[in-house]
Amino acid sequence: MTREIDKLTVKVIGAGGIGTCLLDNLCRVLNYGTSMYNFDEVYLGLVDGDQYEEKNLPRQRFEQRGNKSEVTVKRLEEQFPDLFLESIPLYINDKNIDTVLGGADVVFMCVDNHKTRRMVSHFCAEQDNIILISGGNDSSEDGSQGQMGDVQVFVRKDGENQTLPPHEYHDAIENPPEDDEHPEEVEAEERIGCLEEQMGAAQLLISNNFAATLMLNTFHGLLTEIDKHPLAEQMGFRYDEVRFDLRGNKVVTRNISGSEKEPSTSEKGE
Amino acid sequence: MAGKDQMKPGPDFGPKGGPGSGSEGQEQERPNAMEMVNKAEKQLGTVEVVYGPHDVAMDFAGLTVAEAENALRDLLGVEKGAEAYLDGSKIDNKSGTTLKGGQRLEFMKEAGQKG
Repeated sequence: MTREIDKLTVKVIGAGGIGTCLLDNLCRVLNYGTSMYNFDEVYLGLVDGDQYEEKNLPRQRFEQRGNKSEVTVKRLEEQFPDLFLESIPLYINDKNIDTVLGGADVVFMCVDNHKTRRMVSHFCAEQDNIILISGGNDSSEDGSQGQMGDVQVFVRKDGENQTLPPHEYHDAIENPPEDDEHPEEVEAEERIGCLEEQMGAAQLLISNNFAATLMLNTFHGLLTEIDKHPLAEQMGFRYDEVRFDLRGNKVVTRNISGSEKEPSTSEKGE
Repeated sequence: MAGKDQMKPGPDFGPKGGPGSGSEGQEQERPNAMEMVNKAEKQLGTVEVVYGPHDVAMDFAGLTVAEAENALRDLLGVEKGAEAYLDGSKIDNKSGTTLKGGQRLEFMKEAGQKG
């Protein structure tokens, strides 16, 4: 395996449900896997402007209250001394996105709103080289059961899209619904805990963990360049999106950019 | 109800003229596997149902779109009021549209919002 970069810069946006499931294993992989992935050093910036509260406990890991990025980075620094970890206690917005995400090789997006997804998807589509791995799952608020979710995988190399940015095939990301609010538009008290109160937090935790695992699998697959194998496309190893149903233990990959046929209706987002 | 993923009994599509095939020297037209499967599904009255990661053949011929949606709600968590597309065309009258074998019914599923 040959790679073109010796220093890996990773940004993780969101240290909530999916983020806390992802971060421990991601940091462990990066801390002990530098030789396998051929990196000399790894920088990881964790971006989150939200606060940990008691109500988050059923599905989010934290030892103390406080800003999510600061609390989590403090804990991870003690476990993974070989990583360069930085807390970025902000919400991503139009004004800070260039500064916060600039220089990233890989962005993991673990947010709870499509407005941020849209912003980050467009930002990544303007970079020359970047990998965006974004996870999300349903909640009970929309009438579904929170059992399904998906991971979008956007790879941009040398100024060309290798896969599609999420906003190009998900209408809800490009045109977020009215009830989708950027965290800076919502009062803190409104944001915290409503999900856990409305449905079984256990299922949401499992769904968050499923999404986080698929995001880590995707990262490993891309770094080991499985998508470059001549048979990768036929095997379904080259894809724009992974969809899952946790109750049925079902996972499928979707190669939308490489598909010869028209996208299905849901991909068009009519 | 049989899912698309299940093994289906059918003709032997193995290599022609192989050992023990009994067809040495005979040039026979081999049936197209997908054509056979599609034909069988139509005879059984199955409808291709697509939602999220699911793409399965269900015995839904004769049901209305609304009945199919209700049948799948508990199993797949199809969202109430999810947009439905039959062979690519949006269905506005779910209760008045009856499914036929061989059709493709897709319930719209957007990206998960929560993280």
